[in-house]
Amino acid sequence: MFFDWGTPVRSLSYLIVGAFITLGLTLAIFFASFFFGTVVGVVRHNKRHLVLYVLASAFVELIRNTPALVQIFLIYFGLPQFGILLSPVVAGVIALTINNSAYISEIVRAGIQAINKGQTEAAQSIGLSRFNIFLSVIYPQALRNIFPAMTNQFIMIIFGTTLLSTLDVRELTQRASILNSETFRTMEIFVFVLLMYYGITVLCSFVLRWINRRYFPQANAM
Amino acid sequence: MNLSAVWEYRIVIIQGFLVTLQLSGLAIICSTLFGFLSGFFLSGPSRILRYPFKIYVEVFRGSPLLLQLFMIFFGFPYLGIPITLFQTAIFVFTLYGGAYIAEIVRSGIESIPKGQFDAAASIGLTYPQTMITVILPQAMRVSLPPLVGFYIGLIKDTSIASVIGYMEVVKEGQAVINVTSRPFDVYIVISILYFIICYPLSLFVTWIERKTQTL
Repeated sequence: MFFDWGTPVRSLSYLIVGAFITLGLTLAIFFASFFFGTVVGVVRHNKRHLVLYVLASAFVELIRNTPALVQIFLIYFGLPQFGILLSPVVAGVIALTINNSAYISEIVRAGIQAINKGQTEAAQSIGLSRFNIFLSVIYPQALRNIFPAMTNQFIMIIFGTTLLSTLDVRELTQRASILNSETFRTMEIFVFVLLMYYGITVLCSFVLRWINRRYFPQANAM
Repeated sequence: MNLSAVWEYRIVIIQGFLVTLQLSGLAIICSTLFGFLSGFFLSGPSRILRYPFKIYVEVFRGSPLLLQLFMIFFGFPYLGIPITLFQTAIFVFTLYGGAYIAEIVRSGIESIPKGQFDAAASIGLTYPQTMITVILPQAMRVSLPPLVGFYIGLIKDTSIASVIGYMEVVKEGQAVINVTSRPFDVYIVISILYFIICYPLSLFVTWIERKTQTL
């Protein structure tokens, strides 16, 4: 038995395109679920609108207690039962956005709840509207608290996109599988791609930590 | 939605669900044992033992589970080592879960003030004695909520074993879909089954978090 590490190296451009597709999917899912997660988290942070609160809670609990893979299958294979046909990429991005929105909403909710009540009262006393209180006083502070958790969630989304290979989305994992069935250099390819994923996660968490230091400098002073 | 077609094949789905439960249980037990061991070495005094575990935890937390499954399931036969689906699943879930649990255990141990170690040393306890009788009981208070939270994740992650062909509930569900052509109904039923297992555990996490916070 000898290893031929040239096999993955010769297909490096093919794999790097896959890595960029993985990254693109991750960014799309991250920003979409950041938006929806914030909305759900805000609804859930107090019980002012009870109906919305119950609906949002049911959504979060249902999504967080079922596997992402089943959610992906439910949307891609399940919806055609009602005549709704989605492409693999669209179905996958929708499913993973729904999935991650639930997780991010919990992060956002905890972040909002950690902000001192005095901040809201101070903002009220200078006459800010409820929307402005949230947008310009509460949320920026919450964002600073939740940034490390969001970094973590970003990495989890990278790993989540590997599940889209089951729908034949040509991201990094699927490209590794295709390359494997073409060359049968199994161990070389999978170890190489595993290390590529490791490199991507290290790089991403490095960049996100830099953003954290750059834009939320006081978070480190505290 | 019409569940009567799925009801007809309930035996198949229940059988798959039992396999999911079995795999989840084994994955939890094996990864807990290995994770605690790794966690001890990670926070232990020996640098020579610490580094290999550090690299292991870094790599297995820094790469996707699906790729780890592929690597072992297709890679081992390639190296001339025969491996079954069951062995692959247990092996990979042990390593994957062990890496995350090691980190949970390590951060639990490191949350204990150094004075506790010094006090234990001053009454003549050895390092293993200190860990088991002094540090671990206190560390578990910190580690238990994330640990049970991770178990929920692990139970859900067993669904990924279906991709390499493990006949658990998702894979059995696909067989039912092939006969009934009712994918939505089958996946809804499977979701409900997962929910029944995971939701009580989530409630337990919330409960235990509240309980340990007040202490």
